[in-house]
Amino acid sequence: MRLELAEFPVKTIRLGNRFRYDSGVLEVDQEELVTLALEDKRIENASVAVVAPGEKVRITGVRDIVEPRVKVQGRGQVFPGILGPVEPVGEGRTHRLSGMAVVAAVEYEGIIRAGNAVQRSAILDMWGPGAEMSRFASLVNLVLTLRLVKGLPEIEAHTAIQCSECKVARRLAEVTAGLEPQRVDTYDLSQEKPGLPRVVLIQGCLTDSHHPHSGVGYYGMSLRESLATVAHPNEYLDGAVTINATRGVGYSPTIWDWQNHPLIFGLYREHGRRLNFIGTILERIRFETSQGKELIAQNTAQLAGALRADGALVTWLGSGNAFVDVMLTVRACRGRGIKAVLVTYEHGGKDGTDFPLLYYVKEATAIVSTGTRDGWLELPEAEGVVGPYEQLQILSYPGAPVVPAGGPLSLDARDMVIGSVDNWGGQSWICRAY
Amino acid sequence: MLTIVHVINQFFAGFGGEDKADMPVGVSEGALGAARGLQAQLGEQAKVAATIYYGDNYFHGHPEEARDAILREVRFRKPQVVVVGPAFNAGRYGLSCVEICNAIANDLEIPCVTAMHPENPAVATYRDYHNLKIFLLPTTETAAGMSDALAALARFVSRLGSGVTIRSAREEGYLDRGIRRMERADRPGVERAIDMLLSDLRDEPFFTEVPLEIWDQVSPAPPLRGLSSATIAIVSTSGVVPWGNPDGFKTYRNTYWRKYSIASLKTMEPGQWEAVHGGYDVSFMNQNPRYGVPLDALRALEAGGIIGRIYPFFYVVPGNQGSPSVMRQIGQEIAADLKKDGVDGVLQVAT
Amino acid sequence: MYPLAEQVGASRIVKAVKIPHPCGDPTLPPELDAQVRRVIVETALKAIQTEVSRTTVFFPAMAMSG
Repeated sequence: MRLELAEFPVKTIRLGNRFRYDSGVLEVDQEELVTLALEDKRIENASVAVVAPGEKVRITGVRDIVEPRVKVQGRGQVFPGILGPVEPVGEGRTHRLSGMAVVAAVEYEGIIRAGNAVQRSAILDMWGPGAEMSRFASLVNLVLTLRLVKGLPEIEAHTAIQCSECKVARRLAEVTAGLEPQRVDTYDLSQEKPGLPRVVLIQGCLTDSHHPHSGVGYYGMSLRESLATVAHPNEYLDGAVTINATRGVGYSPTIWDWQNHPLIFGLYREHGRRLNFIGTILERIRFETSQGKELIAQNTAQLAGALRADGALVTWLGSGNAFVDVMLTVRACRGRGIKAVLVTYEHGGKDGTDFPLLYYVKEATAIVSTGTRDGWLELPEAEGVVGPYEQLQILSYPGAPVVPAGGPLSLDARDMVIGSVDNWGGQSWICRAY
Repeated sequence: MLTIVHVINQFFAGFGGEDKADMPVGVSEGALGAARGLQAQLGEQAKVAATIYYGDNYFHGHPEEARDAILREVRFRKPQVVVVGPAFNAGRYGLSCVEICNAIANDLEIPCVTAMHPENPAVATYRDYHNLKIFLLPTTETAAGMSDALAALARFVSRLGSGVTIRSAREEGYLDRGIRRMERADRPGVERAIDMLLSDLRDEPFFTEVPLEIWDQVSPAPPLRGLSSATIAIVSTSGVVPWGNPDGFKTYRNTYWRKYSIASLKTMEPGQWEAVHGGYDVSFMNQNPRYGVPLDALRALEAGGIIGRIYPFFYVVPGNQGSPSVMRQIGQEIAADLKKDGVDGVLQVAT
Repeated sequence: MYPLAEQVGASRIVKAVKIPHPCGDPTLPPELDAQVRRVIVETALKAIQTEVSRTTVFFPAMAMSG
């Protein structure tokens, strides 16, 4: 499987009446994008706006973020199983518009009241302390604001949002057809250098098996209580892994993160140099019994062993007791002689004085910290608000009070700011002990 | 030249061992006993203006007087830095060093540095204080490492006195105070992870970025006797609260608890309760709150005389991302409330 | 789901059904579900009458998934 990723960087986006890309400037046919979104009858209103880094603008209602990509050669199409049939992806050539993203900002009231499948949206400040903490604030963002028809159940809302954002993302990338990219990177694991350690990426995926969308989609289908499976890293690059598009949360990844997985890019960079990158294991976590947790840990380690891994980078997404599965996986790998380094965010509470992690095994002797997800934040007043919400419910419980979206905000955690928790080590955040 | 004060116990001041451990707080101008060693290491960097000493037993037997006397002397001398110890593996001495540092740092806002063996039990107390103005340096187990310890203390005194911002524990060589701060590293996490893995694969040493923590161990309560006359209470972190969530619990990171009456209830009826919790699928609990508050089962046992009575309230704090220190506090408060009302045994349901 | 409870040092732990429904099993008909709940509660009462010196997990005497 050999994939060429052709990059077309975007520095400026202009809303106009045609699609054109030239020297970093992307012109966008605003009306065509709106029409594209409104094709789905579950969407009753759509609009498009551009927000650039540094503008004192707060984007509200953020559910998901996608990088525009399109396949120009090779089997299948980006976002397989979502925009088109399930066809294998990850080879040929894919164009990407880098330096920008499509932000799905959606007005949606769900049916579920609480629990871990309740709809949630986040905010994104493009300036100030809120921007400093989010990896999405340095992108030029095309905000797709949608209003869904009332009374939609969560799975319908998810499908409507996900299809729209992916359609828009692909449509934007199509502007590069026939153009010369700024650079082309080749992703190919078929050649291995003998003598180098074999390293696998173990990606823990918290999924909720009870809900219509479990939280992680593979070719558009929810991962549920499945056992661990092997996925080729190139599949991620072509949008094969997606999320529950009704939930935008600071400590969860977006589609953009799956498309730009830092551990995949990092391991690819080292492939054939200091290690052999042998692939990824998608490990469903958050089993609800201890038997399930032990089982997935052993099963994952066994799969890594079957791939003849010498070492593993282990990471995860999610929160809470799913972390027990992750730690047990580290233990199971080491028990088989597979060295395992865990990449994870920390807790630490408001002042950094609480325990950093909620569960430990003594085999977890190698941990990389990607910073904290806790801590109070004070966000300043914005000069403008883009997105569906003029008011925000910043504490998440039934009956919580609302505050003006553009005003100063006191948040008790990073959950509300999309991209504010470095899940997979793409940035240089760390926690140090004092 | 910096002015410092050195606080040591009676033994290191040269007065004697256990036989002199009841000495009250005293002070000597300039450097006395081990403080002379410190002064030698400090050279021209700093002057030991006074040596304060105390008996180990005296300190623990008269904590208020000892602390006040020491604070008085330190306040009078106006040092820039206070050095306490080193205590090596002496637990009692180590603890008094930490207490003294904490008192001086809080009351007088003078930075303090102490030193002891990393396995001295007082290190846990030092970490629990989370006091940014006190620093604990590692030493050998016994006083055989005294000159190294004094050299390290002297270097740290200079560093503290120079006004430079003290960096992280690993960079500066002190034991951390259980405070973790988010900062920028020199490279992205992915690069650090790959380097760490490659070192591990080559069996080369490396530093983990998150050391393992040990939770404190709780001694089990003695077993309950006389179940048939006992009062049993239910505590639940499942998030089951009266419908409408009247006390405004959040679905995560709650900071308080409440108790709700079940006095007249035989069971938990769906529709009267809802589960406010963001960490699990609450649809089962909403349809059947008994899953989180098994009142029906307990009522049957009460009716059958197996248990004496059910306490007329159940306690709630919805879990999910609860801060351990907050939950510890909540646990203590609930325990106090239970004791006050004569509850004998508790069933805690956790999701 | 008791590894966490063990780690924080809970002295007496009763292994219940599943995270979203610890004291019961919604896949069972109501009478059996109530019986599961009863057995779990009885196990808990047995646990608090048992002398333990360290973290101890008690398993209800019945077949439960996981």
